[in-house]
Amino acid sequence: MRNDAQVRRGLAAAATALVLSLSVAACGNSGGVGGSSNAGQATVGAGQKVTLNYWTWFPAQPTLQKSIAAFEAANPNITIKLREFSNTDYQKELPLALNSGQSLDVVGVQVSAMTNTVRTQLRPVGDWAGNLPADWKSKINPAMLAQTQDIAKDKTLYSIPMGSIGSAVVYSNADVLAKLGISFPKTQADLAADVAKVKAAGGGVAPVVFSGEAWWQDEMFFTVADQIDPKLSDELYTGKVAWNSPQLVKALTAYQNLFKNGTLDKGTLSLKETDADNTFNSGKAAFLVEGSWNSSVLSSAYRKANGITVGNVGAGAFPVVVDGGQPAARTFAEGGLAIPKSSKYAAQAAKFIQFMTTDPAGVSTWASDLVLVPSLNGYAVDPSVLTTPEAQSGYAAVQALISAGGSGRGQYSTTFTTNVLDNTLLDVARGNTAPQAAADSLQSAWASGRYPVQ
Amino acid sequence: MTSHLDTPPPGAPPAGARPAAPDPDPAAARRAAAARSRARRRALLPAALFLAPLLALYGVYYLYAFVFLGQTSTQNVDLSFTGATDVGFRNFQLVLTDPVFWRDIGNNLLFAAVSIAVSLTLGFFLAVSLASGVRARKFFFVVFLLPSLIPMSLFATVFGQLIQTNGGAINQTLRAVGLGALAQDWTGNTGSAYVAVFILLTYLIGLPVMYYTSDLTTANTAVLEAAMIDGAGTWQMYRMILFPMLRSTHKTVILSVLLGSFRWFEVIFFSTGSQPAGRTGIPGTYIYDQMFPSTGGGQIGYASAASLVVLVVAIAVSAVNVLVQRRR
Amino acid sequence: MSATTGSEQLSPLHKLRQKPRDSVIVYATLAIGAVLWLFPLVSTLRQSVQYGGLRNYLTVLTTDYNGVSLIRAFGNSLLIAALTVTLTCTIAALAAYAFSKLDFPGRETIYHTGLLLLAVPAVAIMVPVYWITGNLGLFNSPVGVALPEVVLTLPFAVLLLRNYADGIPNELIEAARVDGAGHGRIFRHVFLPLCRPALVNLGALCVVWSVQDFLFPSMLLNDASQTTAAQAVQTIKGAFAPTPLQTSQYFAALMLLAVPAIVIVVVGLKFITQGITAGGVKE
Repeated sequence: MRNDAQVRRGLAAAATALVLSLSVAACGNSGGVGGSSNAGQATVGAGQKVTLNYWTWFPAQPTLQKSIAAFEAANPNITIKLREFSNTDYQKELPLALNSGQSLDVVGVQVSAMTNTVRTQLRPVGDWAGNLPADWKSKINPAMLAQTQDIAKDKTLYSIPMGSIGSAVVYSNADVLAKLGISFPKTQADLAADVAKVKAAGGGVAPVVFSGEAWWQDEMFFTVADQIDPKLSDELYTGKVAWNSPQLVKALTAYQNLFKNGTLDKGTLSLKETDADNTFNSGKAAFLVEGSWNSSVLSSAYRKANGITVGNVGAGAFPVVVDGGQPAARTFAEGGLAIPKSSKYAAQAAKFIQFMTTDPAGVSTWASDLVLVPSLNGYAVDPSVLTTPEAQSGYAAVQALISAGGSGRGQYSTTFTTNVLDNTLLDVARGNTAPQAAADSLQSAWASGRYPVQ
Repeated sequence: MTSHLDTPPPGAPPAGARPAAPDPDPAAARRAAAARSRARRRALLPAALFLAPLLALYGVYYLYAFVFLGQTSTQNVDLSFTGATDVGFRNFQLVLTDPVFWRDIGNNLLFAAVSIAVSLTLGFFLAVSLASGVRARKFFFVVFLLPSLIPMSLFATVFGQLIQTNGGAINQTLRAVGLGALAQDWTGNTGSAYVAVFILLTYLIGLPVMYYTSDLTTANTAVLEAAMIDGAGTWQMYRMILFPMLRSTHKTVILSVLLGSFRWFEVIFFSTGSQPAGRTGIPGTYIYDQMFPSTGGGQIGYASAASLVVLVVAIAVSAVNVLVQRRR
Repeated sequence: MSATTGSEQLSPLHKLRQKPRDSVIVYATLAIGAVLWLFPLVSTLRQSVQYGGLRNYLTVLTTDYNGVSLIRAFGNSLLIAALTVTLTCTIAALAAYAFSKLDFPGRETIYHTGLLLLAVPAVAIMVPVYWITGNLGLFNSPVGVALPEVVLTLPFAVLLLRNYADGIPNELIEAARVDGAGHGRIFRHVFLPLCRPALVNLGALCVVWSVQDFLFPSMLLNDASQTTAAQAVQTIKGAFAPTPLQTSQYFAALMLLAVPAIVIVVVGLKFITQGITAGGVKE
């Protein structure tokens, strides 16, 4: 049995090495998945430096860096380490990181399904509101606060929203419009005429660009659908209206026609969001359909700082493309800032959130880039940001749309939206599926029970 | 899906070349049955020790994993694995009745079939050409193998950029050389998206080329000389002599491509992203989209059920593979 | 078995190109093929310098994108690859010895059951791997990524090494046994040295596969400082603004991310091809 002894000895070494490497590696991590108890708080002595890990997807990095620089200047003992993701990546990365116990201190949370995906890993605002001024609530727009609270299944406030956004809206290259003698389109006919003029002028300028990514399709479509009835998309998702109702078929038909008659180009559907933005930013497109979070392009200072070459930008509602419709956009609170349970520096994190939401000096660092209509009561954008009449009227139009209070946006982002609706809309846009057939297939998928409703 | 996919599907390869399970030592077989079984039993302990690390890892990452999947597949649960609600076999019922799931399985088989067809023709021809003493052989070899051996996330991303409708290099090049009519909205309609995937799979021809190259060096190609003297044409030599000669390699190629095709998640995810409208999806992307939808929370229970179904299919294909290998 | 040397220059296959016309066809196919196969590379290269020129490469190398430095990502990839190679080769060699040189009850059953795992797709075990890794406390650890990679490679590795080991004469093992050596010593001093060629091939393959892996790192490594090269393809994307310059820089980053893999392939090509195709002695 000597053999066995030797085998054992040989293997013991290998096994020890394996176990050792496992346990060494395990040291950094407490283990477990989705642990949901609050991390102990680090004691921070006076003058001691603290680094906060801040993850988000929005607003854009150049904007946030300004805010962070201002905050760090005012709080020399706190350093903010920002990590920013694209919207799609963030949907995956944030839940993964929080459930794996990664130590994050401030996270941007979408006021949408994302809030529910990660809420068990977040500290309710009530837990850390003690670090905020006592009157903080009175400084924040109550409607936005209510939306943020109601989105959570347990009706608890998990984040403080930076502001409100709406989509979809249209940005225009005011220089191109001026050159071709085009006015901002109000209706389908206007838009079709404008597109024809831009096409005729040539010069490598695309008439209308927008993201072809799947998640953007429902944003565009609901803008059209809500022109029929501003609450239509709300009613679809709450089951009050069937997905194959005449209204929806009408909306699908109008949407399909936009592509069928060439007003919108099917080729655009293969553009990534960044490609669409890029095309518009470099002056190669007359119109860009985007969310209001893209309003930074209205600011000439922002354009200059970020190498955006388009000279002058206007904005407005998506043209009315259904008979008897009204301009519409879905709007909602957005840019929730939250503190994960894994944070060891909740007090410092709260300080940063306060700076970003209730402190006028802090809010102005990002609000001047126009990414959101700030939730801070009484905040008005410094008029010097908007340097041209087109930008001024454009920003006013976008703001009016957002405050008009259309259907909600974001609270209905479910796998039904991403795995069924968006793909169906792409088919409709490309003319592969007739509106009625598309509506019927939507309704049958909706009723299949495969896609849980929020 | 992970690394191993695209390239060398850790598949049948070597097994294809020889019997996988040699009979036990013939000398031992002749010994008395009792003595033999005693000796075999005595070997159990050392065998267990030698196999311990392997079985430990298999136990955790396969056996326990399958059990865990079985558990989550009957639940409605998210990535935090908390607050699960039991839904019985509803997830399986929903997966199995989802036409999209079956379309994705069909796509997987179609893509594997196309890849096999390309391998048996172009792959075969390239390998023979490379083995025929051409100049700059190593250069060509590296060029044809590279796409299969660099990270698939990277190659598929680059390919995804090439097939962009506006500004994509393929359309630009087609227009530049006067073939603008061939420019496509590649991910815009089903037909061209399939063609795009087929082209991408053609780029990943490295593995079969390696198999053929290897077996060509040991094959008895001297018979070609005799055929030459008998006046056989070049085409006849390819078709009547070389192709049949590599019959066992063809089998290896077919099985390994089929096995590897279940791991093509990145190929699709980073190139067409299942476009248009999910029509080029495969089971890998189907599961991933359930776990990480581009908005909204992942449905881990549903993804688990889909995973189990895919596992059953993949293991069934492996079983066929093992049986085929064993019989030979 | 030298798949890459020029030793078969005198191969009878040469006859296939005896007619000039055939030679032209072969060379034309290879040349056109090479152009097409290099097209993605060339076009990416072109786009990477379209705006900003070659300086883009310097910029990309010296900038942190989303906290990810490319150099660091290369290092992470190589560290995980090294772990994967070590673990895979060790565990598979031990198992191959048992399957090939020890005769025990249930041997073939266990072996063939293991082979059934050859086609298991990583995506199908993502859910449990996430759970297991978390409970082992291995999130954001190279070991946490290496283990599932090893597990996915092991069925192939065992197959390859067993096939090779079956070609090692049992007489060698038995002679050592008669000399009084135990299995442990035989494994180390007889078996492992004899398996070296197969282990080298397997190791080269493990490196390639590990460096290629996207799913496990993307799921198990969320810490920017742990990001691997294959994962970075996706995670750095959001850090490039949609301007022509930064788009070019993104392409430069893609080019750079390919470099380590290209080096590995060019250097290890011989072992990679042998590993995939050979696996052992042929009859």
